[in-house]
Amino acid sequence: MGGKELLSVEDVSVSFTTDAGTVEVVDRVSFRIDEGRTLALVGESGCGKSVTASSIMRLLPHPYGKVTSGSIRFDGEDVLALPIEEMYRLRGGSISMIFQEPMTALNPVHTAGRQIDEIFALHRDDIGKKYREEAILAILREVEMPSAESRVDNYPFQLSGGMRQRVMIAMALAGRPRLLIADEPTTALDVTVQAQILSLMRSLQRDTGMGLLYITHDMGVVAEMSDDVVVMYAGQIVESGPVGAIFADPVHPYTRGLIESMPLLDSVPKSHLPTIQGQVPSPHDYPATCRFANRCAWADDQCRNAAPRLEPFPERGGVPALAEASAKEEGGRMVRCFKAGTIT
Amino acid sequence: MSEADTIIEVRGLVQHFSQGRYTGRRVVHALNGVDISIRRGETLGVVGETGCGKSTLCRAIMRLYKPTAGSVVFEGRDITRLHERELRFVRRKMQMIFQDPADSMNSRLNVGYIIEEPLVIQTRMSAAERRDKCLALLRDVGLPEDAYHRYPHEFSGGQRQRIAIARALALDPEVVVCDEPVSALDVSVQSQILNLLLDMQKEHSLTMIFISHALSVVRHMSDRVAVMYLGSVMELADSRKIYEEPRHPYTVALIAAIPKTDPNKRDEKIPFTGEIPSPIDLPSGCPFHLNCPRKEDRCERERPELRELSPGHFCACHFA
Repeated sequence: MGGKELLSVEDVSVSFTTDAGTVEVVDRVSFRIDEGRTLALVGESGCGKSVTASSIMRLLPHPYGKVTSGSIRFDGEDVLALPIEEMYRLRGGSISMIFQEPMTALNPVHTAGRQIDEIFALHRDDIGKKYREEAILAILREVEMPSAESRVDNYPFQLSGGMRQRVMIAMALAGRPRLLIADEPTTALDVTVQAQILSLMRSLQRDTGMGLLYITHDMGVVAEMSDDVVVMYAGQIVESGPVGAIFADPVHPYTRGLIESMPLLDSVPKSHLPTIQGQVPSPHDYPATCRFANRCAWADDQCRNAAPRLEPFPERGGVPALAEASAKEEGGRMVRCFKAGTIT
Repeated sequence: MSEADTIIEVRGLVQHFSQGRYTGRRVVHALNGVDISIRRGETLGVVGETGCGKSTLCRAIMRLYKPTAGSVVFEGRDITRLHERELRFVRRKMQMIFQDPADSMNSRLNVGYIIEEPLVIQTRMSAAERRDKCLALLRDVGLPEDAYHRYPHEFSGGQRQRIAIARALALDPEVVVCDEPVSALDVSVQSQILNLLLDMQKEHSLTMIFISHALSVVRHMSDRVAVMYLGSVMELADSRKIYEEPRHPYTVALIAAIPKTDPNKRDEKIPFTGEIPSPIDLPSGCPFHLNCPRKEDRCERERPELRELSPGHFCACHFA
């Protein structure tokens, strides 16, 4: 791997306090992102992918959500231990975030330009007040906003969905982030606009060398965007590895189901699609065994009685510690399944 | 296909909405002369971007709007100018499934009542008959019988969509319009609902209109696909043909924009840029000419007709 390590998330667990007691929604999640790389965090609603992202930014709803264990290091600094003033500096500065619905993430009573200006005021002391107007226009042009000069003074409701998302991206870039967290940024957009936004993010990443954490449930977008993939199910990582390997040979039955249940452009029209039976369990009743067992076509007694661990795949040399080390080194594959490698 | 196989015939359908009561009247041109005929038992897919008029088209076909011009003929009868009272038979034969089942159901009614309500309105069935019918429908769509007494909020999104499907089928309709039926669902549940819709279509020999902005889903579900842009049909053909040999530049652009599902085939494509013109000030000539890579002078002046290029393959482009 080329780049320097930017973000490392290690054994992070997150719990929420609810009326019905404490529920663990994220269970010991680990991954790392290097400079210039894109990691896709995939999973369905409720699997904990957005909560993981929020905990990196320390945006969990206070006081209900808490990181109960593990560490998050950004650029060597322990994010979880930083004083909150330092966090203000980090958020929108070195780490920025783009959200799914730009209409709710943008402030409806301020113009696009003013919202970008706020980021400059907070994070960019290097740009003098006089030059900010110019800088705003420059950054809007950078995100390929059509007729940027007139759009600067528009309010969010006057912009189309794609343009709003461009404003969001401009805001995220204004602080010159080294890590960009994109939480389903294109889910609400049309395919053509999605293609534009994806290619924009790719070219911006090439230019700035930032790391990208891309959260999505769309396997097509994953294939298009990412270098590495982490698949989450019911609060746990079930499979991770380089994108090519995951798509060529998904090992975990859930990953396989996700990939197969997408209608392809060369499938037989009106044929039955492969499905994953049943539905995602709620965090209140995550089983103590394999959490996917009740939906899995390959599950047997072992799966229904014990919980598999996230292990390197394929196992190397029989010495688990060694294999684990080499897997981490090479960004190799990790799978949480008893049947890994045996199902076809 | 003979004429007898046509269940819905749409001719020159125009739908305008007026906007802006106080700041000067403006006309939104939602549909600008749509011609389409739908055959009995087929699935017609409608794709296009937000605001292209695909939902308007379906609602106009169902006569939820009064079309500005043009006609909709359903089973040989012109329903364009019918009064609400006379439309009752249309309402019975055409049903709709919406994107978000949570928004399209009354959360204070139990599932039994939600599914039975169309029967109460349209038929003279007794309470016991309705209950039997409802339980049979619940079984058909894969829900437990005890769902009857429960409320929509007790179900997940996928199960709610199953309830919506049961409700749509309660009156044994001829046509079911699905407006983005799986867009709000989780990936692993989407394919379950798509399979259910395919089964139901076969079992009840339904004609379906399937709207979605997810092109791969539309391709999978449809026999024929209509591509819409700014209130006009740009291309109409068999679902395989439209994806394998698209003839209209807009269709080509749409298909190129679909994320490839193979990470090795990633290409640096240039997605067509530019915003879709507003339906308030329609561009002259071809609706797509402002964004079209093959644009010539003629496109600015003349609006291309939807013409048949090969049997069953229609395209509205001067150069196709």
